[in-house]
Amino acid sequence: MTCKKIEERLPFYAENKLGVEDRRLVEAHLADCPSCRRLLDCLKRTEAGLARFPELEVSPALAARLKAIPSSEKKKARSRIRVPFFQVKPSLQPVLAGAFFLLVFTSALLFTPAGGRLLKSLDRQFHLGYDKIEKLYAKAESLADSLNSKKDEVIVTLKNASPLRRDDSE
Amino acid sequence: MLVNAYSQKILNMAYQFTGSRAEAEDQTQEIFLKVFHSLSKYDTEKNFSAWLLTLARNHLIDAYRRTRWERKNRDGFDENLPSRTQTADNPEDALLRREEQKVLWRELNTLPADIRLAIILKEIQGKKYEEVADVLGLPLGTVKSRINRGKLQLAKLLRERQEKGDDL
Repeated sequence: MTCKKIEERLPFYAENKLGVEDRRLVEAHLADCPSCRRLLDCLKRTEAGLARFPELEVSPALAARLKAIPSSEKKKARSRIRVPFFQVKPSLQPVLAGAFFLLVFTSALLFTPAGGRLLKSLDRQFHLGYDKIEKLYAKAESLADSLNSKKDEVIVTLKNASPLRRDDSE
Repeated sequence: MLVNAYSQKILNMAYQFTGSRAEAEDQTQEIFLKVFHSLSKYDTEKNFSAWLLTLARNHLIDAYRRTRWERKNRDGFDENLPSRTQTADNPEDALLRREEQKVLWRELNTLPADIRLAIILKEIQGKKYEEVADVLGLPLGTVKSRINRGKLQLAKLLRERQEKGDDL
């Protein structure tokens, strides 16, 4: 068996987890191969060295930072809750209240039967008023036309009746 | 309490993975932050320790991909005093083991991130293969193969130094 194949089995051999046949093959190879024997030795020292690695203690500062996480995160979560902007700016409250009542009133007009009737009567009154205005406007126009047509006659009459005219004839 | 029970385990996992105490402390804090936000998703029928380690593993791998710590140097092996007792029979053996550990500590960075994490969990933190497979979310055979590959790579580095006549 080649060194490469033995190398693959060495960790299992070191842990005593090889089958009888594989174990016999590895031991036969190790007896003749000083390089693989050294590798096995180094493998065991690697395992022992890793198992005795230094272990850090948690510093008081880190422990304090870790213990502060729940309270600081709860504070952050509370500050992230969205507050309506009129609560943040009380000066806007009257404006918003007015807008609210206007909205309610408009909704009542648009979406209730009584509101609908009121709108219809307002509409009728508006059109009646508009008709009256149109008629008045037409009368005013005809009056203006008749005044214009009489304008020349009035001027002539006035000229004939003027004292200056009498002086000229004298 | 969660912090008392698990902070040292997570800190050491992050330290052994990143090789830097400052980085490990930052990562530990971020991991606990994630734990805090993910606790509601934890299935109480599952093993909490495995769930926590899986979350830590995912965070460390993600952060590693973003920042590539291996380009930075690891802290010196002696910078942080070991809390585990040395069991050397004599000062010469103790020195030899210490030198070997320095090499292993440095060379951990040469291992790919997934193999490094598997080695940390199995060889340094002393977990069983099944537990490591559970944390990494990989089949048992894949985990065994990765761990053995990683250990062999480190052992070969020790052998090379030995053959070159280094002070090991």
